[in-house]
Amino acid sequence: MTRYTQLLLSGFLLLFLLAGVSLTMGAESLPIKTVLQTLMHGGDQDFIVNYYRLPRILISILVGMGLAISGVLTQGIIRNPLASPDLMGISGGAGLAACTVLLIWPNIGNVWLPPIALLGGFSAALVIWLLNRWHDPSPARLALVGIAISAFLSSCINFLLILHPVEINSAMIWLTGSLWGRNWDYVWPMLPWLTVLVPFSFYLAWSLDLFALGEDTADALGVNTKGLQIAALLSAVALASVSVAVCGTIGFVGLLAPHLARLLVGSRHKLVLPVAALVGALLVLSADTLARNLAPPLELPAGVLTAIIGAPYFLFLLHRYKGY
Amino acid sequence: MNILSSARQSKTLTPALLLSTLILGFIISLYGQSEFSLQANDLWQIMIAPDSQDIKQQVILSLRLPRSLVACLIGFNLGVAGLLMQGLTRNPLASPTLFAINSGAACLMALNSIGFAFFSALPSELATFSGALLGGLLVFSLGGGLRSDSNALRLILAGIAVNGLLSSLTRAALIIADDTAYSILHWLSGSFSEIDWHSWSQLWPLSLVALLLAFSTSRGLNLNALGEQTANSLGINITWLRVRVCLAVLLLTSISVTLAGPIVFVGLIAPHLARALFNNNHLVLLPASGLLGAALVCWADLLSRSIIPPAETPVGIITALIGTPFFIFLVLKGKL
Amino acid sequence: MRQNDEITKISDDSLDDNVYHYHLIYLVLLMSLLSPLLFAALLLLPLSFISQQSHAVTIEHDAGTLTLDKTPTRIVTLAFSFVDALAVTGVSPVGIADDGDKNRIIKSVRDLIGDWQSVGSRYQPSLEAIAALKPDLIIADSGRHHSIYKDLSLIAPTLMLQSRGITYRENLAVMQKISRAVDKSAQFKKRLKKHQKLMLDLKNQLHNNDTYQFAIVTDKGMWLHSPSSYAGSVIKELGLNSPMTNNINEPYLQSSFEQLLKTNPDWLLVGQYTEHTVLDKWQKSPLWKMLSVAKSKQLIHVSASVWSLTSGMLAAEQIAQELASHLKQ
Repeated sequence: MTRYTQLLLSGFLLLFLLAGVSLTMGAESLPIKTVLQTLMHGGDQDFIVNYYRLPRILISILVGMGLAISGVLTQGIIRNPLASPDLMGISGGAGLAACTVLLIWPNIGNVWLPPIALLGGFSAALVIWLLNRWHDPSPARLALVGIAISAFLSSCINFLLILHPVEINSAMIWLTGSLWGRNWDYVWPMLPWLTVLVPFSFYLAWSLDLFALGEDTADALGVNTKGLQIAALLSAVALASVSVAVCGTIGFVGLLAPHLARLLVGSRHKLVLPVAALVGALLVLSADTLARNLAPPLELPAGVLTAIIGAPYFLFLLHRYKGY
Repeated sequence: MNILSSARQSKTLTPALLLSTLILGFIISLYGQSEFSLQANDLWQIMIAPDSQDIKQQVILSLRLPRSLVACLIGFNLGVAGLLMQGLTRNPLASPTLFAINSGAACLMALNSIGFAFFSALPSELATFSGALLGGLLVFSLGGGLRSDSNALRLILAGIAVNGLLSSLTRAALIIADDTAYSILHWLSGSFSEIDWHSWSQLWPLSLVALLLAFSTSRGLNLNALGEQTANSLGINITWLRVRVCLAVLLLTSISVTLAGPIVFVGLIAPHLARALFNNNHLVLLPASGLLGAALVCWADLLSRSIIPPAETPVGIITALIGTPFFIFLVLKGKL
Repeated sequence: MRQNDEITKISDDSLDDNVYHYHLIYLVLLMSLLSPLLFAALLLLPLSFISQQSHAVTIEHDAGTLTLDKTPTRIVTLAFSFVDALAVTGVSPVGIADDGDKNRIIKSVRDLIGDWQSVGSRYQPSLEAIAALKPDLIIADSGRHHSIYKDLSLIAPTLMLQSRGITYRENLAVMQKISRAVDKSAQFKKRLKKHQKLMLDLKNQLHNNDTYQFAIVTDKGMWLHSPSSYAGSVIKELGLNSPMTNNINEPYLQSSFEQLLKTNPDWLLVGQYTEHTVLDKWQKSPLWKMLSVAKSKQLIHVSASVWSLTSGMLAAEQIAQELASHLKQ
């Protein structure tokens, strides 16, 4: 058993344990025995365990994976340690689109949110893609472009909220990222996207390793660089937008997970991708578990907790990072 | 670009045009778009026949005049601060937004409003001011902005992390604030609607100190533009220069954000326009960028009152709407 | 057509005696399996008929219609105005989304109901806490909670009603629906009559031509509540005039000092959300003296939580009485 397999296995074990803890804890604390019984046979706590905590845990894991993989792909393709769906305004675009629709038609069904968020995410990605094509900015400048676009998008959102003061809370929760009230109805629309996109990303990871050697080398090794770039970017945007559509713009996961994974297993995408996905899932799951348990029965938005967990750690990474 | 380059050649025409735009904006904003249907004539009346019982004259003197003055001075401050940041980091996109000054101010203001922990004990101006300082200092220190070997990328990364943390805390506070959320949100988008003579008396002394400090660094910035090593060899103490510039920037932006909320993109646009219109001497650029900022904010404030009267659109949204196309223009022209 | 013919032919053929017997046996077997169910159904039919007669209401709400077969006793409400509706008919909810602070419910309502369990904040009520209370009716805010309607329905029958951004009359209609749901229509009617009489009496007492304006002030600004907001519509119901002439359809209007000068109400009722407000600043300005409110000293501080945070019959009565007591002085 290599060190890598050990790492993956312990990651899985940790995720499993955390899911177990998350099932037992909340506004209503349940003993493990009751949880197991309810999982098997239903019963009194059927709603809390099977309809409330279980789907939330699943969504946390899926969203965390989606955001982390999206981060690995964007960083790989733009070859920029700062690229991540939330920094480049992709999450912001998806958030703005969904937020606009929610404010104008507050009663729109959940089914419509993923395609709308997808549209917003793709438009933001299109802007980034065009910038990259025309100008090929340096990492720092691309990040600045992202900040400027995000600043603009958040001004737009503020303006919308001032026009519709009654709906501020719902929109704010959406923008911060929260798993409140997310049930099985949100799991099913996500699954087909992820079952296609995740294996596809693993396939792309192999090609990305060649791409990381430089575009010319990749060309020489027979990788279709342009096709690869487009495919990776598209799946990154799709993964991020689907995640945003389900639980809003949860920050820092897409930026942090790839960095942490690289710190653990080096820079080969084939190895980084699974670890990053695990880290992302762990991050979102622990954020949501904390969100439910810090001051029950009050719930906090999970996005605030990913930021509180993520930002200091990111600054710590920054402190150690020497490769400028 | 033809217009710009020909404008650069004429040494007197450009400043004259700039000044007249500013003065025109200032005068119109004194009487424009009022519930009392004020006319330019009312301004004239104040000068020839002052009447302390006339409500129109009083509105102009105690509401409009301080508002316009504060808008211009804040615009001036932001323009100068933007130029200083860009000059120091030699980064064309440096701005108060990047250095988390806006989000720091917003975060502490929001926490103050919901009465979080000890923040509620502070007066809201003090909370906002310390938030701006805190955000700025965090980014500078974590990003190594004060070290001589500081790296632009590192500074930006620190800015991103601090920004992300502070803005999600702000959002959490807004969610909890619930019923007061819309009043906080209004401030978060930048607005001059609550400006009076008191604000002016808070603004001008600090601004004066910070501006004097800013102008004292212009020679150093000129040399710094040639590269740090050159500047060093010409006898400039880079660290001391950095400290002075940072102090000036923090003061200028903190006092502005405290009074009017985050007004984005002004600190970005004004310096770029100034560079396009004038030469690269910071002695000229600093006042030019300041005047451009002042004109920009003055007109944006005027616009903010005219879009959906009688309600005011927050001025920060106007500047963002003007700023983003400009930004895209910069990118397309390869200025980045 | 030809297919149909074939089918008829087949079924005709199969109707010989043997097969007929099989059919019969199958039918008997089926009947014997179903008989307990049928029996139970027969037994229950009159019972359910009786209980339906006693209490079966169908209520139209913002997410469809809800039929309640028996009177709910364990009720969870997710907005303040619904608590008011329950309190006037003498029903105590078991759970309220009170943002973790019992004082958020105004005192006149608190006095009428028993103790309750907090189920979290109004913006994100804890579904676990609601489920743990085992309610038999949930009343939720259709503006805020429509995204969790399905989850709430899994826990208990759920009413989605409007709580915020509605006028006095709309609120009474909502209250009436709630009283029907908890089988207290008669009590509600009685209470409503008393309420209407009180409002009418006050209306006759207060009758005058002054203008009245309610506003919320914070340290960030002032928001005028127009006649289409809750407090504004109560003032209108009392037959008092509003100084606002345009933008009446916007419930809340942000107002600068200049706009307040233009609106210039004879009476200004302010509810403070923060300790220091813009009003402190405005009062120092020379312009303040030009307001009719300043000349006649008719600036009145009122409780923001009664006038703006909540709505309902008790809140409206308190607003009306507060107004009356100030006007009589």
